[in-house]
Amino acid sequence: MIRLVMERSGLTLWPVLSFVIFLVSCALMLAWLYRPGAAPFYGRLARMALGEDRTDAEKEG
Amino acid sequence: MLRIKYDDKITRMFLIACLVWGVLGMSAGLWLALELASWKFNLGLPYISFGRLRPLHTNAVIFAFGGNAIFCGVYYSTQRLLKARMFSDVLSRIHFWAWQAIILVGGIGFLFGITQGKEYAELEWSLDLVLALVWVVFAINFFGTVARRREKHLYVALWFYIGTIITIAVLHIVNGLAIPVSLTKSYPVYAGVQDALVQWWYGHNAVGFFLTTPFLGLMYYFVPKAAERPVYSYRLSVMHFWALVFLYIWAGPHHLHYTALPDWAQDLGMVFSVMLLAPSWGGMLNGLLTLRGAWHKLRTDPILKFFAASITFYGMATFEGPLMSIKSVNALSHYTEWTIGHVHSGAIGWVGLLVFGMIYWLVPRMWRTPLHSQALANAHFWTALVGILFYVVSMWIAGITQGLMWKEFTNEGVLAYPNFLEIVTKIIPLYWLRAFGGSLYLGGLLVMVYNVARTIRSAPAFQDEEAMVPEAPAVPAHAAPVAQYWHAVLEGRPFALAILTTVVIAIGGIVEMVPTFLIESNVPTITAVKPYTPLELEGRDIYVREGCYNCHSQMVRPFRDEVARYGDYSKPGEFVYDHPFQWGSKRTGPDLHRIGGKYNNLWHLRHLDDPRLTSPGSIMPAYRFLLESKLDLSLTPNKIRVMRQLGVPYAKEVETECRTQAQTQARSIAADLEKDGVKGMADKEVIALIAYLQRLGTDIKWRETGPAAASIQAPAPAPAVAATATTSTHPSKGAGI
Ligand code: HEC
Repeated sequence: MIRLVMERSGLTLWPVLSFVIFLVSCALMLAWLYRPGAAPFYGRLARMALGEDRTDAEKEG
Repeated sequence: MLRIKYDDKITRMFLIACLVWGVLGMSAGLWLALELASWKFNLGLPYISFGRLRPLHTNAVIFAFGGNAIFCGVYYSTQRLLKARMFSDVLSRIHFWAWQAIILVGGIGFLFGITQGKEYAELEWSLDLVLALVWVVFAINFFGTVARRREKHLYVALWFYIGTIITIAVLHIVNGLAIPVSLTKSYPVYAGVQDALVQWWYGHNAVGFFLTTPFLGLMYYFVPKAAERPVYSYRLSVMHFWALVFLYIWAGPHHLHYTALPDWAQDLGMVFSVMLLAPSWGGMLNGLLTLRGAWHKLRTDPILKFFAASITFYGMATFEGPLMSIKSVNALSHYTEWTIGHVHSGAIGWVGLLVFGMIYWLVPRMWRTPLHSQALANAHFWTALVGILFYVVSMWIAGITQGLMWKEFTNEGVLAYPNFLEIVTKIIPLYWLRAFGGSLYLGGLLVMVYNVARTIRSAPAFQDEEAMVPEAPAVPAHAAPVAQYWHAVLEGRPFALAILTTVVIAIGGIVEMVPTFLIESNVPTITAVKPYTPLELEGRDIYVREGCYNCHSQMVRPFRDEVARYGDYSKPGEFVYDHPFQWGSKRTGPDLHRIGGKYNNLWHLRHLDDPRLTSPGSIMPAYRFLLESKLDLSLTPNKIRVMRQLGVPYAKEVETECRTQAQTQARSIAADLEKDGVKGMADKEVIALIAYLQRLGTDIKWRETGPAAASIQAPAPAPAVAATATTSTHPSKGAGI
C-alpha cells in the first residue's frame, strides 16, 4: 500500500510537502516570537545563563 | 530558600578525561599524518597501520575528546540552568566510567582490526549495545534532573542538549542494526546502496548532532558567561534550534553525490545542505554578536579569543559545507583531501577551540584557584590558530590539486596523469605541512594540559559550589500569564519539546530512507551479480579488518575521467550483497571497484607484501603479515548462515561446504602463484584478500567492451559459487548498462 502510494505520487511530492510545512512553521514561529509585548520576556530568557557562579577569588576582587 | 550543592566532581572528572583522550586522540592523528607523509611511520606493525589507526583517531577525537567535553559542559550547565543537582550521582558515575571503558576497549579493538567497517560507527555490535545502554543512563539522568528542576523555563542550551540526546540515540540504533557472527564480528542488516544511505545519514548527523548541536548548546551557555553579556537574540536562538534540527537530518546524501544512490536522494541532500547555511549563519552571528560590547576584552582574555575564533570557524565550516555539497563542486572535491581539511576546520577549529575556551573558563571555577598562567593560555591560542591554518590550507591545496589532476585530459583526449601514483607523490610535501600544523595544534594542547595540571596542583581544599534556590518547584506551565502560555507549554514542558524534536528529526530520515528501501526500481537487480564465494567473503572481511576503505573507494562515478581511469561506472545493483558497503570516502589510493582482473595474482601478492615493489614511491602500508598469518576459516559457516539470514541467496549446502570450497579456491590461486615461483601461500590470509580483489567489479562483463579493455590482462576465472540464481524483479533492467 505505502509502496503503491509512493510510486504513484512521484517521489518529489514528499520532500516538497515537508519543506512547505517547514517554511510555514518557520513563518508562524517568527510571527509568534515577534508578537507585540514579548520583548521583555525574551530579554529575560537571554540572561538566563548569567547566574551567580563566580570563583571566590573573583568575588573578592 | 533552599541550599543545594551541585555535583561538580563529575564535571571535573569529565574535564580531565577530555584532556587525556584529547592528547591521545590527537597524537594518533599526528601519527597518521606522518604515515601519509612517509609510509615508514607504519613501522611494519599491523596494529598501527593506517587503516587500523585511523578509526582509533576519529573515534577518540569525536567520542572521547568531544564526548567527554560535551558531558563536562552539560553536567556543569544543566545543574545551574535547572537549579538542581543531577538526578542521580550513581548514574553520573556509571555514565562516566562506562563511557571511558567503551572507548578504551573499543580503541584497543580497532588496533586489532575489530571493526564494523562503517566510518565513525566502527564499534562492533557488542560495544554498540553497551553504548546504547550508557546513552540511556545519560538520558535518564538528564531528564530526571529536568523533572526535578526549580526553574520553569528551559534555557535554549538545554533544547540543544535534548535534541542531541534524542537524535544520537535514533542514529546509533538505526545505523548499528547488525546480526552477530561472534562476539567481535557482525554484518549490518543493510547492504550496498541502502547501507550507504543509512551510514551517511548517520555519519553526517554524527557531525550534526554530536559535533554541532551539543556544542551550540555549550556556546549559548558559556559564551554569555565569559562575555558577561546576555545572548544577542534569544528569538534568533529559538529559530536557530528548530531550523537546524529540521534541516540537518536531510543532508546526509551529499556524501554520496554521483554514486549509485538514486538521483532524487542526492538532489535532496544537496538542496537541504545549501539551506542549512541559513540557520548555521544565524547561530554564528548570534554567537559572535553576543560578544558585542566585550570586544575590548578580547585583547587580554584568552577565553574570549578561543570563543570568537571558534565561532568564526563554525561560520567558515558551515559555509564550506553547503558549498561542497553542491553537486558540481562535489564532483571535484569529493574523495580528496579537501574534505579532510573541511572536517578539521570544524573539528579542531569550531569544536576544539570552543572546548579549550570552556575548559579555561571552568578550571579556575572547578578548582577554586586562578589559572596558573594567562600567558601560556594566550600562547596556546596562537599556536592552535596557526596550527589550524597550516592544516586547513595545506589540505585545501592538496585536495584541489588531486581533484584537478584526476580529471585532467590532454588535447589528444587521454588522461593527463594516467598513473595515480604521480598525483599521490605530488601532494606529499603538503602532507608534511599538514603534519607540521597538527604538531603545533597538539603542542598547544600539551601546553594547556601543563597549565591545567599546575593550576590543579595549587588548588586549595574546597567544597563544591552551593547555591540558594527557591524551595518549591517552579510554577507549572498553565499558571503562566496567557500571553506566555504557548511558549511556556513548549518550553516549560520538556517532554512535549522532546517529542516534537523527535518528530522534526524523523521527517527527513523517513522521507529519504523509506522509498530507497521500498521501491525496487531504485536498486535495479542485475542477474549476473552473485554472492561472494566463501573465500572471497573471508577476503572481504580482511579488507574490512585492515580498514582499506580508509584509503580506497569502491565507487566509480559516471565521469569521463573515472571511467577512463578505473573502468565502467558502478551500478546500484552491483552492491546488493555488500554487508557492509565499502564505498569509502577518500581516495588516498585509487578506486578499487573495478580492480578485479586488472592485475594478475602475483602482482597483488607483491604489492601487498611491499607496495614499493610494484609501485615505486607508493605510500600504501606494507601488509607483509598477511603473507605470514594463517587464514582462519572457523567462523566461515557462521558467516554464511548470517548472510543467508540477511537474504543473501547462498544455497543451504554452502553453510556446511564453505570451508572445503574456500580451500579449493585458495589452492587454485596458490597454484597460479606457484607457477610464478611463490610457494606455500595456500593457507595464508593474503590468498583470501587476493580472491576478493580479483572478484571486485567483475560480475558485469565490462572489460570486453570497456574503454580499458585492450590494455588489460584476462581476469582469473572466479570459481562458481554454489548459490541459487538471483531472480530479477526487473528483468528488463537487469544488467542495465
Ligand atoms: C595509506 C593509505 C592506503 C591504505 C590503508 C591502503 N592502500 Fe592500497 N593504495 C594506496 C595508494 C597510495 C595506492 C597507489 C599506489 C600503489 O599502487 O601502491 C594504492 C594502490 C592499491 C592497489 C592498486 C590499485 C591500482 O589500480 O593500481 C590495490 C589493489 C590496493 N591498493 C589494495 C589495498 C588493500 C587491499 C588495502 C588494505 C589491506 C589497501 N590497499 C590499503 C594507499 C593505501
